Amino acid sequence: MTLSTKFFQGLAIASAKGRGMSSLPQVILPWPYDTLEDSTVREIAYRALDEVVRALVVPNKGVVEVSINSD
Amino acid sequence: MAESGLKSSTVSANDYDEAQEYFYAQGMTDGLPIVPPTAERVVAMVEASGRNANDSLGQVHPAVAEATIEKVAVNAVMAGCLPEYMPVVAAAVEAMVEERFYLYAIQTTTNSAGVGIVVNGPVRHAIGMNCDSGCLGPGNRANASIGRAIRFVLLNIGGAVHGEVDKATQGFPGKFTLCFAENEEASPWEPLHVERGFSPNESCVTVIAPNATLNCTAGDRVIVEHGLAALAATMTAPAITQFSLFHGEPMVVLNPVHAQVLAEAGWSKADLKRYFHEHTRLPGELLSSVARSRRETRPDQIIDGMYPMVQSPDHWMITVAGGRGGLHSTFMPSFGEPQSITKPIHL
Repeated sequence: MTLSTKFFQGLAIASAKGRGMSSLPQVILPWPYDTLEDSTVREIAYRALDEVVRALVVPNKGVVEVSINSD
Repeated sequence: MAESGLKSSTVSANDYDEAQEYFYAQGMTDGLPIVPPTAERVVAMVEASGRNANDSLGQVHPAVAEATIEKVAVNAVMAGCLPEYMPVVAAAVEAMVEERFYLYAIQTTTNSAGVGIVVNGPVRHAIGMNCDSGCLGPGNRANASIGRAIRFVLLNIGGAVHGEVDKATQGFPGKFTLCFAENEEASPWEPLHVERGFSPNESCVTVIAPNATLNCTAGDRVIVEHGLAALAATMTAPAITQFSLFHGEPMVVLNPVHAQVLAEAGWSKADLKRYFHEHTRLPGELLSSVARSRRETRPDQIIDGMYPMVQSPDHWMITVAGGRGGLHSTFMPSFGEPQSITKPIHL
């Protein structure tokens, strides 16, 4: 799977395609981070971790975007 | 292009304007008009390379696409190259796909960095390159179009689509083209390629990863007394980006008068590298924690809390180019980890 921010999603797709893995599951994190509180960034990281594990164990997971807010 | 023996797909255009609009629409230009890569022009470019159309020069990241001679030739035509420039373009591609050049990083970084090209040896004059006045500026077809061909290879083979894959926050004008020849005849020292083990009679290309060209002004006759300090001071603060990582290789392009005056005062290239290494340090508080921690792996290089720009004097490159107007030399800070690569040009 590939993990990137929204900002680098195009690059992540291009890199995966270049390596012959166009269908690689993606977990996309929100962006930018600079304006977020540390606590919010940590919360995003925890939720992203769940999605990373799912992407690794569930076939054909596709693209999952992790939002800033959990609800 | 079956009749020509080429493998590239073809498109038809009714006229020149329609061809231009096609290439703009496909995102295959740098924003300026291109020379339409007709089969005849591409074949001439392939033949001038002295290689087969299918020969690969390596894989261009991040698309990980093979840079075949044919594909490179298409881009060289588009950039306005004459066929006799093709060996230089091919050698530059061979150099920049080497792993130590970290092309993936250059192509995708938010930094402004691009690929710069320095040409040495007899080929400079054979193809009419400018190593004299204005060599870093406009006006010479070989300088301009060779650098532009490399930009097209990065875009059309490497996939560095602006904004999507090429994530430069601002970029810099050198990403359109940055190619010059060293003024070996006016240099008191051995040229860059000889320094790297090649014969003076060989023609070579060196790829670098600059993210700016910075004019450094110092009076010719005073350069030995305090001009070097002025040059070093000019370089240091704007080169904060050079400090972000630790493995880059900044280049100083001395004008021939500065070089001559320094040589007459007994300075060698090695002396200058040591001088610039020692006099372009910054205090740790001006650096990011990452920049500091990388340099703290080499505590021997940190003197009185002053951190060096790069790992050692050997990471500095000194070249000589430009005219005899004097006063103005150039500093090119480099990006991140890439190491410059020198390759022979197969003529």
